[in-house]
Amino acid sequence: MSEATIYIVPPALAPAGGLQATATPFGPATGSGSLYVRTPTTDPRALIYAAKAAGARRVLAAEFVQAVSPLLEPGDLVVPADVIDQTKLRPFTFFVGKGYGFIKLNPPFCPDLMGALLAAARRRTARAFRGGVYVCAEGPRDATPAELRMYRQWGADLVGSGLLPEAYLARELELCYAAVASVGEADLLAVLQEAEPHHKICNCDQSMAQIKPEMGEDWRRWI
Amino acid sequence: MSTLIIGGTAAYHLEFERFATVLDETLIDTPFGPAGPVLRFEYAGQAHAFLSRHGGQGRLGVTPSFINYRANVHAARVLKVNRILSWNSAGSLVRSLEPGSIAAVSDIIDWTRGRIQTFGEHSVIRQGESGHLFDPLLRQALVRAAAAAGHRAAPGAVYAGTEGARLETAAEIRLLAQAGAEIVGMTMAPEVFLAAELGLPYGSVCWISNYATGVPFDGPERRLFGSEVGPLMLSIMLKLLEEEKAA
Repeated sequence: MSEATIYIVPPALAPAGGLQATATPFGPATGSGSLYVRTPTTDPRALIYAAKAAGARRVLAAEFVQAVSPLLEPGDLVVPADVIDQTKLRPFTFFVGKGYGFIKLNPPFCPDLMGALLAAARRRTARAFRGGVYVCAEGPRDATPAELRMYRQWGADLVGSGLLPEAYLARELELCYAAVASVGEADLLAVLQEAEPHHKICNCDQSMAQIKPEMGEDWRRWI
Repeated sequence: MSTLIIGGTAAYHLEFERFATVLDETLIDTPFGPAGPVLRFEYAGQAHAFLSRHGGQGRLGVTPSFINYRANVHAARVLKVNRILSWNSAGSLVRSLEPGSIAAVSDIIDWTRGRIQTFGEHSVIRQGESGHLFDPLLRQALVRAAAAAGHRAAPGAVYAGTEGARLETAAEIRLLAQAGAEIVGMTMAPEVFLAAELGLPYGSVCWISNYATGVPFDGPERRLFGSEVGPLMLSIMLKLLEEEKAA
Protein backbone atom coordinates (compact mmCIF):
# COMPACT_ATOMS: atom_id res chain seq x y z
CA MET A 1 0.00 0.00 0.00
CA SER A 2 1.17 3.51 -0.74
CA GLU A 3 1.51 6.21 1.88
CA ALA A 4 -1.66 7.71 0.45
CA THR A 5 -3.41 5.41 2.94
CA ILE A 6 -3.66 6.05 6.67
CA TYR A 7 -4.69 3.34 9.13
CA ILE A 8 -6.68 4.03 12.31
CA VAL A 9 -6.61 1.20 14.83
CA PRO A 10 -7.61 0.56 18.46
CA PRO A 11 -4.89 0.47 21.15
CA ALA A 12 -4.76 -3.36 21.05
CA LEU A 13 -3.36 -3.18 17.50
CA ALA A 14 -0.82 -0.44 18.22
CA PRO A 15 2.89 -1.23 17.90
CA ALA A 16 4.61 -1.83 21.23
CA GLY A 17 6.86 1.22 21.11
CA GLY A 18 7.95 4.19 19.06
CA LEU A 19 4.63 6.01 19.09
CA GLN A 20 4.80 9.69 18.25
CA ALA A 21 2.29 12.49 18.64
CA THR A 22 1.36 14.60 15.61
CA ALA A 23 0.04 18.00 16.62
CA THR A 24 -3.28 19.16 15.13
CA PRO A 25 -5.64 22.04 15.99
CA PHE A 26 -7.75 19.38 17.74
CA GLY A 27 -5.04 17.90 19.94
CA PRO A 28 -2.49 15.18 19.22
CA ALA A 29 -2.94 12.23 16.87
CA THR A 30 -0.71 9.52 18.28
CA GLY A 31 0.76 6.84 16.07
CA SER A 32 3.65 5.50 14.11
CA GLY A 33 4.24 6.19 10.43
CA SER A 34 0.97 5.80 8.53
CA LEU A 35 -0.80 4.26 11.53
CA TYR A 36 -2.75 6.24 14.13
CA VAL A 37 -4.17 4.89 17.38
CA ARG A 38 -7.73 5.67 18.44
CA THR A 39 -8.19 5.82 22.21
CA PRO A 40 -11.37 6.80 24.09
CA THR A 41 -9.86 10.23 24.74
CA THR A 42 -8.64 10.93 21.20
CA ASP A 43 -10.53 13.71 19.47
CA PRO A 44 -11.70 12.09 16.22
CA ARG A 45 -11.06 15.37 14.42
CA ALA A 46 -7.36 15.08 15.33
CA LEU A 47 -7.10 11.68 13.61
CA ILE A 48 -8.85 12.75 10.41
CA TYR A 49 -7.12 16.12 10.31
CA ALA A 50 -3.73 14.44 10.72
CA ALA A 51 -4.56 11.95 7.94
CA LYS A 52 -5.55 14.75 5.57
CA ALA A 53 -2.53 16.88 6.53
CA ALA A 54 -0.27 13.88 5.83
CA GLY A 55 -1.54 13.89 2.25
CA ALA A 56 -3.64 10.73 2.57
CA ARG A 57 -6.47 10.05 0.16
CA ARG A 58 -7.75 6.99 2.00
CA VAL A 59 -8.35 6.00 5.60
CA LEU A 60 -8.79 2.37 6.58
CA ALA A 61 -10.03 1.81 10.11
CA ALA A 62 -10.37 -1.19 12.39
CA GLU A 63 -12.32 -1.84 15.55
CA PHE A 64 -13.19 -4.69 17.90
CA VAL A 65 -16.95 -4.72 18.45
CA GLN A 66 -19.80 -6.51 20.18
CA ALA A 67 -22.11 -8.69 18.15
CA VAL A 68 -25.74 -7.66 17.86
CA SER A 69 -26.64 -10.40 15.41
CA PRO A 70 -26.70 -13.81 17.13
CA LEU A 71 -25.16 -15.26 13.96
CA LEU A 72 -21.81 -13.54 14.46
CA GLU A 73 -19.08 -15.54 16.18
CA PRO A 74 -15.67 -14.68 17.62
CA GLY A 75 -13.16 -14.27 14.81
CA ASP A 76 -15.75 -13.25 12.21
CA LEU A 77 -14.81 -10.23 10.11
CA VAL A 78 -17.42 -7.66 9.11
CA VAL A 79 -17.12 -4.74 6.71
CA PRO A 80 -20.01 -2.53 7.84
CA ALA A 81 -22.07 -0.89 5.10
CA ASP A 82 -24.38 1.35 7.10
CA VAL A 83 -24.43 3.03 10.50
CA ILE A 84 -26.76 4.21 13.24
CA ASP A 85 -25.25 6.99 15.31
CA GLN A 86 -25.87 6.70 19.04
CA THR A 87 -22.93 8.81 20.14
CA LYS A 88 -23.83 11.73 22.36
CA LEU A 89 -20.99 14.03 23.23
CA ARG A 90 -18.45 13.95 20.43
CA PRO A 91 -17.41 16.77 18.15
CA PHE A 92 -19.17 15.54 15.02
CA THR A 93 -18.21 18.08 12.39
CA PHE A 94 -15.30 20.24 11.26
CA PHE A 95 -17.77 22.91 10.15
CA VAL A 96 -18.76 24.49 13.44
CA GLY A 97 -20.96 27.55 12.93
CA LYS A 98 -20.78 27.29 9.14
CA GLY A 99 -23.53 27.21 6.55
CA TYR A 100 -22.43 23.97 4.88
CA GLY A 101 -21.86 20.33 5.76
CA PHE A 102 -25.07 18.65 4.56
CA ILE A 103 -23.03 15.68 3.36
CA LYS A 104 -24.72 12.60 1.94
CA LEU A 105 -24.09 9.27 3.66
CA ASN A 106 -25.60 6.81 1.26
CA PRO A 107 -23.49 4.81 1.93
CA PRO A 108 -21.54 6.32 4.85
CA PHE A 109 -18.40 4.35 3.88
CA CYS A 110 -16.44 4.48 0.64
CA PRO A 111 -17.78 1.70 -1.62
CA ASP A 112 -14.38 1.09 -3.24
CA LEU A 113 -12.65 0.68 0.11
CA MET A 114 -15.46 -1.55 1.39
CA GLY A 115 -14.87 -3.83 -1.58
CA ALA A 116 -11.11 -3.90 -1.03
CA LEU A 117 -11.48 -4.66 2.68
CA LEU A 118 -13.98 -7.43 2.01
CA ALA A 119 -11.65 -9.06 -0.50
CA ALA A 120 -8.77 -8.90 2.00
CA ALA A 121 -10.97 -10.24 4.78
CA ARG A 122 -12.16 -13.12 2.56
CA ARG A 123 -8.58 -14.14 1.91
CA ARG A 124 -8.18 -14.59 5.67
CA THR A 125 -11.45 -16.33 6.48
CA ALA A 126 -14.58 -17.59 4.78
CA ARG A 127 -16.49 -15.96 7.61
CA ALA A 128 -16.06 -12.42 6.30
CA PHE A 129 -19.27 -10.47 5.80
CA ARG A 130 -20.41 -7.30 4.11
CA GLY A 131 -23.61 -5.31 4.37
CA GLY A 132 -23.64 -5.17 8.15
CA VAL A 133 -25.35 -2.33 9.99
CA TYR A 134 -23.12 -0.86 12.68
CA VAL A 135 -24.37 1.02 15.74
CA CYS A 136 -21.88 3.51 17.13
CA ALA A 137 -22.47 3.95 20.85
CA GLU A 138 -20.77 6.53 23.01
CA GLY A 139 -18.73 3.87 24.82
CA PRO A 140 -16.25 2.93 26.05
CA ARG A 141 -18.56 0.72 28.14
CA ASP A 142 -20.16 -2.31 26.54
CA ALA A 143 -23.78 -2.22 25.45
CA THR A 144 -26.22 -3.76 27.93
CA PRO A 145 -28.30 -6.83 27.01
CA ALA A 146 -31.38 -4.62 26.75
CA GLU A 147 -29.56 -2.22 24.43
CA LEU A 148 -28.40 -5.13 22.29
CA ARG A 149 -32.04 -6.24 21.93
CA MET A 150 -33.04 -2.69 20.97
CA TYR A 151 -30.26 -2.47 18.38
CA ARG A 152 -31.35 -5.79 16.93
CA GLN A 153 -34.88 -4.46 16.59
CA TRP A 154 -33.36 -1.54 14.68
CA GLY A 155 -31.85 -3.94 12.17
CA ALA A 156 -28.28 -3.63 13.43
CA ASP A 157 -25.66 -6.39 13.33
CA LEU A 158 -22.85 -5.03 15.50
CA VAL A 159 -22.13 -2.28 18.00
CA GLY A 160 -18.91 -0.43 18.63
CA SER A 161 -17.83 3.07 19.57
CA GLY A 162 -15.00 4.02 17.24
CA LEU A 163 -16.08 4.53 13.66
CA LEU A 164 -18.26 7.63 14.13
CA PRO A 165 -17.87 10.45 13.65
CA GLU A 166 -14.61 9.41 11.95
CA ALA A 167 -16.52 8.37 8.84
CA TYR A 168 -18.37 11.71 8.53
CA LEU A 169 -15.28 13.74 9.31
CA ALA A 170 -13.34 11.91 6.60
CA ARG A 171 -16.05 12.68 4.06
CA GLU A 172 -16.11 16.34 5.13
CA LEU A 173 -12.46 16.47 4.05
CA GLU A 174 -13.10 14.38 0.91
CA LEU A 175 -11.19 11.33 2.13
CA CYS A 176 -12.23 7.79 1.30
CA TYR A 177 -12.97 5.92 4.55
CA ALA A 178 -14.07 2.37 5.36
CA ALA A 179 -13.57 -0.08 8.18
CA VAL A 180 -13.31 -3.71 9.13
CA ALA A 181 -14.64 -4.92 12.46
CA SER A 182 -14.27 -8.11 14.38
CA VAL A 183 -16.08 -9.77 17.21
CA GLY A 184 -13.23 -10.94 19.44
CA GLU A 185 -9.74 -11.92 18.33
CA ALA A 186 -8.60 -11.28 14.76
CA ASP A 187 -5.58 -9.81 13.01
CA LEU A 188 -7.38 -6.72 11.79
CA LEU A 189 -4.20 -4.81 11.05
CA ALA A 190 -3.22 -7.47 8.52
CA VAL A 191 -6.62 -7.10 6.83
CA LEU A 192 -6.11 -3.35 6.56
CA GLN A 193 -2.60 -3.74 5.19
CA GLU A 194 -3.59 -6.41 2.69
CA ALA A 195 -6.47 -4.40 1.26
CA GLU A 196 -5.80 -3.27 -2.31
CA PRO A 197 -8.16 -0.46 -3.11
CA HIS A 198 -8.68 0.63 -6.69
CA HIS A 199 -10.76 3.57 -7.69
CA LYS A 200 -13.91 2.32 -9.41
CA ILE A 201 -17.12 4.06 -8.48
CA CYS A 202 -16.69 6.27 -5.44
CA ASN A 203 -16.93 10.04 -5.52
CA CYS A 204 -15.71 10.66 -1.98
CA ASP A 205 -13.20 13.19 -3.31
CA GLN A 206 -16.09 15.28 -4.66
CA SER A 207 -18.20 15.36 -1.49
CA MET A 208 -17.56 19.05 -0.83
CA ALA A 209 -17.64 20.16 -4.48
CA GLN A 210 -20.61 22.46 -3.79
CA ILE A 211 -18.69 24.78 -1.47
CA LYS A 212 -15.52 25.08 -3.53
CA PRO A 213 -16.67 27.97 -5.75
CA GLU A 214 -17.05 30.05 -2.59
CA MET A 215 -14.58 28.49 -0.15
CA GLY A 216 -11.78 27.49 -2.49
CA GLU A 217 -9.83 24.25 -2.91
CA ASP A 218 -7.74 24.51 0.28
CA TRP A 219 -9.48 22.28 2.81
CA ARG A 220 -7.82 24.06 5.74
CA ARG A 221 -9.91 27.12 4.88
CA TRP A 222 -13.17 25.14 5.06
CA ILE A 223 -12.73 24.37 8.76
CA MET B 1 -53.17 37.60 17.06
CA SER B 2 -49.68 39.03 16.89
CA THR B 3 -47.36 36.40 15.44
CA LEU B 4 -43.65 35.70 15.05
CA ILE B 5 -43.02 33.85 11.80
CA ILE B 6 -39.79 31.84 11.81
CA GLY B 7 -38.78 31.07 8.25
CA GLY B 8 -36.57 28.09 7.47
CA THR B 9 -35.31 26.96 4.08
CA ALA B 10 -35.03 29.83 1.59
CA ALA B 11 -36.03 32.49 4.15
CA TYR B 12 -32.58 33.92 3.46
CA HIS B 13 -33.61 34.47 -0.19
CA LEU B 14 -36.84 36.33 0.61
CA GLU B 15 -37.43 39.89 -0.48
CA PHE B 16 -39.85 40.35 2.38
CA GLU B 17 -40.99 43.85 1.50
CA ARG B 18 -42.67 42.42 -1.59
CA PHE B 19 -45.15 40.56 0.63
CA ALA B 20 -45.93 42.92 3.52
CA THR B 21 -45.25 46.41 4.83
CA VAL B 22 -41.96 46.31 6.74
CA LEU B 23 -41.92 48.61 9.77
CA ASP B 24 -38.32 48.09 10.86
CA GLU B 25 -35.45 45.61 11.00
CA THR B 26 -33.52 45.15 14.25
CA LEU B 27 -31.48 42.68 16.27
CA ILE B 28 -33.42 41.63 19.37
CA ASP B 29 -31.48 41.35 22.63
CA THR B 30 -32.32 38.27 24.69
CA PRO B 31 -30.72 36.67 27.76
CA PHE B 32 -29.36 34.09 25.31
CA GLY B 33 -27.71 36.48 22.90
CA PRO B 34 -29.01 38.47 19.94
CA ALA B 35 -31.76 37.14 17.67
CA GLY B 36 -32.36 38.21 14.13
CA PRO B 37 -32.27 40.52 12.35
CA VAL B 38 -36.02 40.54 13.02
CA LEU B 39 -38.35 42.28 10.58
CA ARG B 40 -41.39 43.85 12.17
CA PHE B 41 -44.14 44.15 9.63
CA GLU B 42 -47.78 45.04 9.25
CA TYR B 43 -50.23 42.70 7.58
CA ALA B 44 -54.03 42.68 7.49
CA GLY B 45 -53.98 45.70 9.81
CA GLN B 46 -51.86 44.15 12.56
CA ALA B 47 -48.19 44.15 13.62
CA HIS B 48 -46.24 40.91 13.33
CA ALA B 49 -42.59 39.85 13.13
CA PHE B 50 -40.43 37.69 10.90
CA LEU B 51 -37.11 35.99 11.52
CA SER B 52 -34.90 33.88 9.25
CA ARG B 53 -33.93 30.87 11.37
CA HIS B 54 -30.63 30.18 9.62
CA GLY B 55 -29.74 33.86 9.33
CA GLY B 56 -27.76 34.68 6.24
CA GLN B 57 -28.40 36.98 3.31
CA GLY B 58 -28.86 35.25 -0.01
CA ARG B 59 -27.53 31.98 1.40
CA LEU B 60 -28.00 29.75 4.42
CA GLY B 61 -26.07 31.32 7.32
CA VAL B 62 -25.56 28.50 9.82
CA THR B 63 -26.49 24.82 9.73
CA PRO B 64 -29.14 23.51 12.17
CA SER B 65 -26.74 22.44 14.95
CA PHE B 66 -25.48 26.00 15.30
CA ILE B 67 -28.75 27.95 15.31
CA ASN B 68 -29.36 29.87 18.54
CA TYR B 69 -32.83 28.41 19.14
CA ARG B 70 -33.15 29.95 22.57
CA ALA B 71 -32.44 33.47 21.33
CA ASN B 72 -34.83 33.02 18.39
CA VAL B 73 -37.73 31.78 20.53
CA HIS B 74 -37.09 34.20 23.36
CA ALA B 75 -37.30 37.02 20.82
CA ALA B 76 -41.02 36.22 20.62
CA ARG B 77 -41.33 37.17 24.27
CA VAL B 78 -39.32 40.35 23.86
CA LEU B 79 -41.51 41.27 20.89
CA LYS B 80 -44.63 40.49 22.95
CA VAL B 81 -46.14 38.32 20.21
CA ASN B 82 -48.71 35.66 21.12
CA ARG B 83 -47.56 32.75 19.05
CA ILE B 84 -45.01 31.32 16.62
CA LEU B 85 -45.67 30.08 13.10
CA SER B 86 -42.83 28.24 11.45
CA TRP B 87 -41.85 26.66 8.24
CA ASN B 88 -39.23 23.94 8.17
CA SER B 89 -38.03 21.80 5.33
CA ALA B 90 -38.09 18.05 5.78
CA GLY B 91 -37.28 14.81 4.05
CA SER B 92 -40.11 12.36 3.51
CA LEU B 93 -40.15 8.82 4.90
CA VAL B 94 -43.40 8.05 3.12
CA ARG B 95 -43.57 7.66 -0.60
CA SER B 96 -46.94 9.39 -0.82
CA LEU B 97 -45.49 12.61 0.63
CA GLU B 98 -43.57 13.67 -2.47
CA PRO B 99 -40.87 16.31 -2.76
CA GLY B 100 -42.67 19.58 -3.45
CA SER B 101 -45.57 18.73 -1.16
CA ILE B 102 -46.47 20.29 2.18
CA ALA B 103 -47.38 18.82 5.56
CA ALA B 104 -48.64 20.33 8.80
CA VAL B 105 -46.85 18.86 11.81
CA SER B 106 -48.81 17.10 14.55
CA ASP B 107 -46.06 15.54 16.66
CA ILE B 108 -42.31 15.22 17.02
CA ILE B 109 -39.66 12.65 17.96
CA ASP B 110 -36.46 14.31 19.14
CA TRP B 111 -33.37 12.54 17.84
CA THR B 112 -31.02 15.52 18.18
CA ARG B 113 -28.08 15.41 20.56
CA GLY B 114 -26.37 18.04 22.64
CA ARG B 115 -28.76 20.91 21.93
CA ILE B 116 -29.87 23.00 24.90
CA GLN B 117 -33.51 22.08 25.41
CA THR B 118 -34.66 24.55 28.07
CA PHE B 119 -34.69 28.21 29.08
CA GLY B 120 -34.02 27.02 32.62
CA GLU B 121 -34.79 29.79 35.08
CA HIS B 122 -36.22 31.87 32.23
CA SER B 123 -38.95 29.31 31.58
CA VAL B 124 -42.46 30.56 32.11
CA ILE B 125 -44.17 27.20 32.04
CA ARG B 126 -42.59 23.97 33.18
CA GLN B 127 -42.50 21.22 30.58
CA GLY B 128 -45.62 19.13 30.55
CA GLU B 129 -47.89 21.91 31.74
CA SER B 130 -48.59 23.44 28.38
CA GLY B 131 -50.98 20.85 26.96
CA HIS B 132 -50.60 20.22 23.25
CA LEU B 133 -47.15 20.80 21.84
CA PHE B 134 -48.76 21.41 18.44
CA ASP B 135 -52.14 23.03 18.98
CA PRO B 136 -54.68 21.03 16.90
CA LEU B 137 -56.79 24.09 16.04
CA LEU B 138 -53.74 25.99 14.84
CA ARG B 139 -52.64 22.98 12.80
CA GLN B 140 -56.07 22.78 11.16
CA ALA B 141 -56.05 26.51 10.51
CA LEU B 142 -52.68 26.12 8.75
CA VAL B 143 -54.09 23.36 6.54
CA ARG B 144 -57.06 25.59 5.64
CA ALA B 145 -54.76 28.53 4.99
CA ALA B 146 -52.65 26.38 2.70
CA ALA B 147 -55.78 25.37 0.78
CA ALA B 148 -56.84 29.02 0.52
CA ALA B 149 -53.36 29.82 -0.83
CA GLY B 150 -53.79 27.08 -3.44
CA HIS B 151 -51.76 24.26 -1.85
CA ARG B 152 -52.88 20.98 -0.38
CA ALA B 153 -51.15 20.32 2.96
CA ALA B 154 -51.15 16.88 4.53
CA PRO B 155 -53.22 17.30 7.70
CA GLY B 156 -50.72 16.05 10.26
CA ALA B 157 -47.31 14.43 10.08
CA VAL B 158 -44.97 13.06 12.72
CA TYR B 159 -41.62 14.83 12.45
CA ALA B 160 -38.32 13.31 13.56
CA GLY B 161 -35.68 15.86 14.48
CA THR B 162 -32.10 14.82 13.69
CA GLU B 163 -28.86 16.59 14.51
CA GLY B 164 -27.34 17.10 11.06
CA ALA B 165 -25.84 18.71 9.23
CA ARG B 166 -24.86 15.34 7.74
CA LEU B 167 -27.84 13.63 6.17
CA GLU B 168 -29.29 10.58 7.89
CA THR B 169 -28.17 7.09 6.86
CA ALA B 170 -30.59 4.56 5.37
CA ALA B 171 -30.40 2.50 8.58
CA GLU B 172 -31.31 5.53 10.68
CA ILE B 173 -34.24 6.37 8.42
CA ARG B 174 -35.55 2.80 8.66
CA LEU B 175 -35.52 2.91 12.44
CA LEU B 176 -37.18 6.33 12.57
CA ALA B 177 -39.87 5.05 10.20
CA GLN B 178 -40.31 2.02 12.44
CA ALA B 179 -40.73 4.43 15.37
CA GLY B 180 -43.59 6.18 13.56
CA ALA B 181 -41.86 9.16 11.97
CA GLU B 182 -43.21 10.34 8.60
CA ILE B 183 -40.89 13.24 7.89
CA VAL B 184 -37.41 14.11 9.09
CA GLY B 185 -35.73 17.47 9.58
CA MET B 186 -33.06 19.19 11.65
CA THR B 187 -34.61 22.43 12.89
CA MET B 188 -37.83 21.89 14.87
CA ALA B 189 -36.21 20.47 18.01
CA PRO B 190 -35.75 22.17 20.42
CA GLU B 191 -37.58 25.18 18.92
CA VAL B 192 -41.05 23.79 19.57
CA PHE B 193 -40.15 22.72 23.14
CA LEU B 194 -38.80 26.17 23.90
CA ALA B 195 -41.98 27.79 22.56
CA ALA B 196 -43.98 25.57 24.90
CA GLU B 197 -41.83 26.70 27.85
CA LEU B 198 -42.91 30.25 27.13
CA GLY B 199 -46.55 29.20 26.77
CA LEU B 200 -46.56 30.18 23.11
CA PRO B 201 -48.72 28.18 20.68
CA TYR B 202 -46.49 26.84 17.88
CA GLY B 203 -47.62 25.76 14.45
CA SER B 204 -45.45 24.40 11.66
CA VAL B 205 -45.91 23.50 8.06
CA CYS B 206 -43.11 21.59 6.45
CA TRP B 207 -41.91 21.87 2.90
CA ILE B 208 -41.01 18.38 1.68
CA SER B 209 -37.71 18.99 -0.08
CA ASN B 210 -36.69 15.41 -0.85
CA TYR B 211 -37.17 11.78 0.04
CA ALA B 212 -35.11 10.71 3.05
CA THR B 213 -32.13 8.41 2.51
CA GLY B 214 -33.12 4.99 1.27
CA VAL B 215 -36.81 5.77 0.67
CA PRO B 216 -37.61 4.43 -2.80
CA PHE B 217 -38.79 6.87 -5.45
CA ASP B 218 -39.54 6.99 -9.15
CA GLY B 219 -37.64 9.09 -11.63
CA PRO B 220 -34.65 11.34 -10.96
CA GLU B 221 -33.75 12.41 -7.42
CA ARG B 222 -35.20 15.75 -6.41
CA ARG B 223 -33.77 18.02 -3.72
CA LEU B 224 -35.86 21.18 -3.67
CA PHE B 225 -34.31 24.01 -1.68
CA GLY B 226 -34.71 26.83 -4.23
CA SER B 227 -35.70 30.45 -3.73
CA GLU B 228 -39.33 29.65 -4.68
CA VAL B 229 -39.82 27.87 -1.34
CA GLY B 230 -39.78 31.04 0.78
CA PRO B 231 -42.59 32.94 -0.99
CA LEU B 232 -44.73 29.80 -1.11
CA MET B 233 -44.43 29.02 2.60
CA LEU B 234 -44.74 32.66 3.63
CA SER B 235 -47.92 32.98 1.54
CA ILE B 236 -49.55 30.21 3.61
CA MET B 237 -48.76 31.99 6.88
CA LEU B 238 -49.90 35.39 5.59
CA LYS B 239 -53.10 33.76 4.36
CA LEU B 240 -53.71 32.47 7.87
CA LEU B 241 -53.26 35.96 9.32
CA GLU B 242 -55.63 37.32 6.68
CA GLU B 243 -58.33 34.69 7.29
CA GLU B 244 -58.17 35.21 11.06
CA LYS B 245 -58.61 38.91 10.58
CA ALA B 246 -61.62 38.33 8.33
CA ALA B 247 -63.25 35.88 10.77
